[in-house]
Amino acid sequence: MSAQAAPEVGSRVLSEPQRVGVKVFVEDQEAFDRARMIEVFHRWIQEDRLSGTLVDVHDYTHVPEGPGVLLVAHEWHLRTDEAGGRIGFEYELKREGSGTLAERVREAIVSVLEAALALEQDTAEDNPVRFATREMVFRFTDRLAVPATDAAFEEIIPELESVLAGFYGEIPIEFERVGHARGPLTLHMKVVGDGEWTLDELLNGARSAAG
Amino acid sequence: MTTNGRLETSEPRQWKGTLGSLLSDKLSREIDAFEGQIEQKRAGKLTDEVFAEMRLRRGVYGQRYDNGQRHDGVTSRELVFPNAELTKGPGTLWDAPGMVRIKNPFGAMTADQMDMLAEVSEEYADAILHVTTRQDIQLHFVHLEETPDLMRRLGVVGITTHEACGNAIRNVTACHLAGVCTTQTFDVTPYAAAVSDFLLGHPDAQEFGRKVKPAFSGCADRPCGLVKMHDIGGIARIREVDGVERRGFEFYVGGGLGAVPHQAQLFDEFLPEEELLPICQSISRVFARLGEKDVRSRARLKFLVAKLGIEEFRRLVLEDREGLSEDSRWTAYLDDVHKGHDGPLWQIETQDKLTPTPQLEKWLGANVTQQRQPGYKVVMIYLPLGDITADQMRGLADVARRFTGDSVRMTVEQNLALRWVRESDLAALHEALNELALADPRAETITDITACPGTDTCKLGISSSRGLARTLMEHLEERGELDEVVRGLRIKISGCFNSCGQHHMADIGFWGVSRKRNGYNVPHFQVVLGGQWAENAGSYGLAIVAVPGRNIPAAMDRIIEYYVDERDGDESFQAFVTRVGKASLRTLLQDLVEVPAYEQDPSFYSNWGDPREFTLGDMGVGECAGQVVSPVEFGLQASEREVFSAQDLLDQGDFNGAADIAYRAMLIAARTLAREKEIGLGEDPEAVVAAFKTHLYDPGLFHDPFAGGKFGNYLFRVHGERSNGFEATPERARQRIEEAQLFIEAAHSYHVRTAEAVSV
Ligand code: SF4
Repeated sequence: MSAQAAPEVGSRVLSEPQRVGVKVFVEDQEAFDRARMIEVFHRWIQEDRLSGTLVDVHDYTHVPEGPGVLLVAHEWHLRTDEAGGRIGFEYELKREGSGTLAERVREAIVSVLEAALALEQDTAEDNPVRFATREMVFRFTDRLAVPATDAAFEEIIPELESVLAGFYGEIPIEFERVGHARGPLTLHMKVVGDGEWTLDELLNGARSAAG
Repeated sequence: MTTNGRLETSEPRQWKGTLGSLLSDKLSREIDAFEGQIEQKRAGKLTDEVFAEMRLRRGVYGQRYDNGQRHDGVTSRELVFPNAELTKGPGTLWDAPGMVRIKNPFGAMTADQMDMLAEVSEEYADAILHVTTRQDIQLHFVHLEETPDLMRRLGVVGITTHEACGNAIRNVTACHLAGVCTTQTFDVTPYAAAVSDFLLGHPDAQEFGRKVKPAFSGCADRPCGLVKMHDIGGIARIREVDGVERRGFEFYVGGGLGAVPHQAQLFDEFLPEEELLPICQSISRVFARLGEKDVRSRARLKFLVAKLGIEEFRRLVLEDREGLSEDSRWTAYLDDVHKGHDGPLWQIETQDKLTPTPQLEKWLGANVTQQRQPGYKVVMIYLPLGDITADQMRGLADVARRFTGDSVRMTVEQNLALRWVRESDLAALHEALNELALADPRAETITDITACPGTDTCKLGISSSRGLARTLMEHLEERGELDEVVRGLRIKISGCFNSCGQHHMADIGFWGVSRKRNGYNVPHFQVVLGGQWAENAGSYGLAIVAVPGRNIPAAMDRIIEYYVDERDGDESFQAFVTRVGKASLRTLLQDLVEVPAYEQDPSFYSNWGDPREFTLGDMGVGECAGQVVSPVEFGLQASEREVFSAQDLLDQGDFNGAADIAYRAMLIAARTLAREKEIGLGEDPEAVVAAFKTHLYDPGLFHDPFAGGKFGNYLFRVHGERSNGFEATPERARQRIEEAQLFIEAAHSYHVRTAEAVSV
């Protein structure tokens, strides 16, 4: 039987996922120094640079379009993801979470932006890393809570829009369902209205929206 | 419906309820029972040891740092997990990420299985599927409490993790070409499947002291099945009996790699097919009855066969076989086997034209091989270090459906083989694989390096096998086009002597060791040359010398250049190594053994791909290599390794070197035992000998029941000779090696006695 047919979950509504992934892309793909990330992530463990129980660094740079360099924490994974041939930071909440779908998504966005900001602040003068802020990819591997179906896609868009409004304000955004038909529900978000944001500005916007 | 993202139903969804009848009753009950055991452990109703064996039998392993300690390059830090007090095995924290091994008999996968493997890897692991050298799949960074759901979802597509680890019959491996191979005697697939089904959970195969690895090969000459390095294995044979052709197996027992590699011994020149299952059953019974149980480093079947001798082992097995009650399963599968077909597995309607491009040509030459059935090909897919992403696996499931009639196998070289590909589809297939970044034309070449997990995830890893493999791959790429004779060589790397990377059978093998240099531990690799991959792993390589990890790329350059320049006509690499000999190869690498001072080049003091300063402090009590290895066993194995090195030096005429290393082997064994009594004991020989004397010799604990203090005295005498200007002659060096062996044997016996005393 196919994987798609396996989890027949009845009403197909969304529930609270544990696993939520958000990816932001590196602006200058060519200049990104993958090998350096091994040293950076090891140092972040030494410095407790990100919150959580940081466990180890894993090098997957030999895998084409793979997870790149992976920083494993008990609660989440952070990778220099190369899926689709585009490098970015993907932060995936894995466990120990609670809250609504919207709260989990918001937590994942804040976390990936904080990690990206940490890297922007950590790079050498001659090769700064900058992240693009007008697009993100959302990936939901928790198939029981967020099935990879058209119904779930329709249902999740307003949820994501309301979360993203906390970061971008009332700027028009659009979503496209991407990835393999049998893959996890994956959405590519693009800002279609005018505006430029730094990572800091997005984070500050989210903080003030949260009051 | 949801309100602001919150599900209005109160019950969270569960895979158990969702999958319902899609899972067989038997499997469902087994997984429920395992889930119950997790709950019992959480409630403190199971001991660590018992639960560890339970989860290992379900394929759930520990992983590096699961003792909650990790050296971050500056200091050893505690990993603070939420359930800090809970453990899932001795010294193994509940929340620490672990590994799950998934058993695919003979490496076969269907497209539906590939889809499900992709799903579970991205949900419970890190979205990478790792193909092992035994045709298993491993997932890393999995949480214990998520394993029952993972198993349920795999169970829906007919995959089990049952007995993928632990002291059980492990995955039954077989040639990935079985059924389509041009040189096969017959297709061994149904026999491998029958052994796998018959022995899975069989009551006679539950009481082993260690794991048993079976393998099958369709022919004697090609390497695919690697029968001679397995505990039990069969090579397909046909014999004419009373004018009728009958199928059977040239049957081997007692092979294995590890610290003390053994070539399997011939059990039967021709084991008739109907005797295959009962003989496997009787071997299991004899092994369960007579195999070592307490000292795991001596508990593999190879040690029992060596101890009894093949004649006696055979006699005991045949005697047991006589007494077995008839079981209809022994032969029930044979009717279907004989009905088996050799014709096309499938037909497709479209035929694409092959338009050669340089890229396609290269791929055709490197990754595409003949199939015995005309019009079809086998296509190899190179997986770097055995890794494939969940996205790639899903895409490959589409490819399998479209191009292969659903016939995919994992290989023991950590690649994938697509079988039954129509010649006319090759161009389209190449394009489809290219889109998945899976058309790299380097399968089964020198840059297709095999490596065990090593320090990346394995608790026993000493040196970084994968880090070195990545470095060597890049290094070889930078060298550009390689001489044709070099392109076909194989490199295999293990992170320690347990040999999961199968370095013994490689042309060029490496295994991780540590050496004390300039006051620091320095990661090294022992260089092993001339192993024979062909003839089912026909012979093992020669250990040459331990080289610092940083110098391995240079060592490899020298070895391949030496071969290219000095080989005699068509001489194979194995023949070349034998001809030029260890001494000349050692001389070739001798200056690379030097380690510069830390201040001069600190990179020597780190593993490849890991900027942290090297430490042995991250090593744990291993579950890898299928065992719970105690520090004592680990230390005693290390001492045995030294004795092998001493023997090597003796063979080369370096008598002083041999005597020195034999002495060091004794010290390692003595320190290993004494450290149980004196935790902080360092490596200073005086302190080690004194601690050994105080804690073990003087109280009589080390005394042999028959020989008394004789073996302990060997250590004291040899230690004393150090300061008395000892000059080694061939005879004295040989004697010292023998004494070291006896001392280590006595250490093993002491360990057995104390282990038994504890378990009574
Ligand atoms: S036990 Fe040794 S050889 Fe096996 S995987 Fe671990 S490091 Fe590699």
